[in-house]
Amino acid sequence: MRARRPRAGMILAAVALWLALTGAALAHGGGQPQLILAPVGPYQITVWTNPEPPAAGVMHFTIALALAASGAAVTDAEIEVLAAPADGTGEVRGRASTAAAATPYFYEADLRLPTPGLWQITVEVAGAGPVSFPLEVQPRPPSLLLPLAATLLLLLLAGLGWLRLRR
Amino acid sequence: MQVLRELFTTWEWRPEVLALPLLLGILYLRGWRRLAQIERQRRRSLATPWRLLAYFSGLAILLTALLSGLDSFGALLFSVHMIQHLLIMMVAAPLIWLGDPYPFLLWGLPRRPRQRVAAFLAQPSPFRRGLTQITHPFLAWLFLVAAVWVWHDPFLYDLTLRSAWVHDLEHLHFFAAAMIFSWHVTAAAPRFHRPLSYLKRAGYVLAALPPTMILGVALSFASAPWYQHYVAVPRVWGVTVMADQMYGGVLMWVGGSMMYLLAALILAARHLAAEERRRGAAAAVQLRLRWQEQQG
Repeated sequence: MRARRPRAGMILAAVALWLALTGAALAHGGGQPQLILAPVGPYQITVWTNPEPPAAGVMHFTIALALAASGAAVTDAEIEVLAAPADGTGEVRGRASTAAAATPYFYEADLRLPTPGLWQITVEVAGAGPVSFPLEVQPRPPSLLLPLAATLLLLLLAGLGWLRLRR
Repeated sequence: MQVLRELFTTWEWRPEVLALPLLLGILYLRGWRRLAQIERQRRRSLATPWRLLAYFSGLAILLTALLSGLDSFGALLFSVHMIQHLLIMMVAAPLIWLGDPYPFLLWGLPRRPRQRVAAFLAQPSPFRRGLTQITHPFLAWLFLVAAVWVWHDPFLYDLTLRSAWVHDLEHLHFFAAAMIFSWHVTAAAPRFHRPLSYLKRAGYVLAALPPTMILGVALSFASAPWYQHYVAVPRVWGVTVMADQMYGGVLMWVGGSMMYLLAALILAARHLAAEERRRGAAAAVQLRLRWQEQQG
């Protein structure tokens, strides 16, 4: 007996679904500006955070550094991001690098902020000094990805079942 | 050189952006090959290499605009962002229609879905009626002008640079508006509306020129930066905020106007060629009649 070949349409639909779901997590850059052209030594620094509003979990930091005198981009600085909760416990730190960014003119870092509440974020530029800003982190909203994927899968199965019944 | 190198060596592979053009590209190629095979014996075939080239150039330009450094550097320079928008609206969309995608996409489908889709789109239905109404040439023009004007509002523009979702929505609006507008300009299938004559189409294209030009001029001659995002980012390639805004405005004004003028000129030339063919055919009929009179 010849094995039934999977339908091309189903395979394409499954691939498209997978691509759509994985792609949703890949948004980068941009976000809410927290510091705009703040002076730090001979530089000016701009910091954006994502997601907006800030929620417990992975927080994405995008940092732009420019020479205060000319506004020209600085691409070879060493930048560290430090996040400290208000109660002083469980400090988190990470290095911001241009390697992870979409262009060599932005520094990016991902920090996991596990708990909601007030956090103090410090961005330290080596040889220039630190700048800080407070960040009110909300509880993490429930993820819609799994229910969405389950609903789509159920719809797909229901559609296939209906097609079989019609035959 | 450094600028070009940075622009075209920085790619970001976003699967959710790639998926649909990839799928449509496969379907088109399949349909094109099938139709080329079916029409092998005929003197005139729908499946010309020119159509294939136009379609895939359109898709390639769209993907380049969305995935190359043009997208990421658009967050640093307004003028680069403007090039990205011009490519999406004024180059990719018309090229895709010039590839005459409907018959090829249809023939790229397996037989039963193809018959169903063709029948569904050919029959009068609420869907077809609704689509015909919302894509009326005037509404298509309005949708295009709104896309250009609304998204260049300083608040909305800054918002697109803060939120990836809003940015994607903006690009979707640009592309959809340009596709509907170009549909009328190219009069490609499926035809839900009575096709406009070449001259009317040339006028239609020219009607889109002033709104784009006015905005481009306003941006070029502005005395202060319109978009705060670009004030906050570092300067790259030695371009100042105001020079960058002026370049972007000039690109919209001159580049945009040139694309519309070029399309209008092509349509006017097509009109003249069609007129000449019509006159030639009429003269041939008259000659034949005269010859028949002389014979009879």
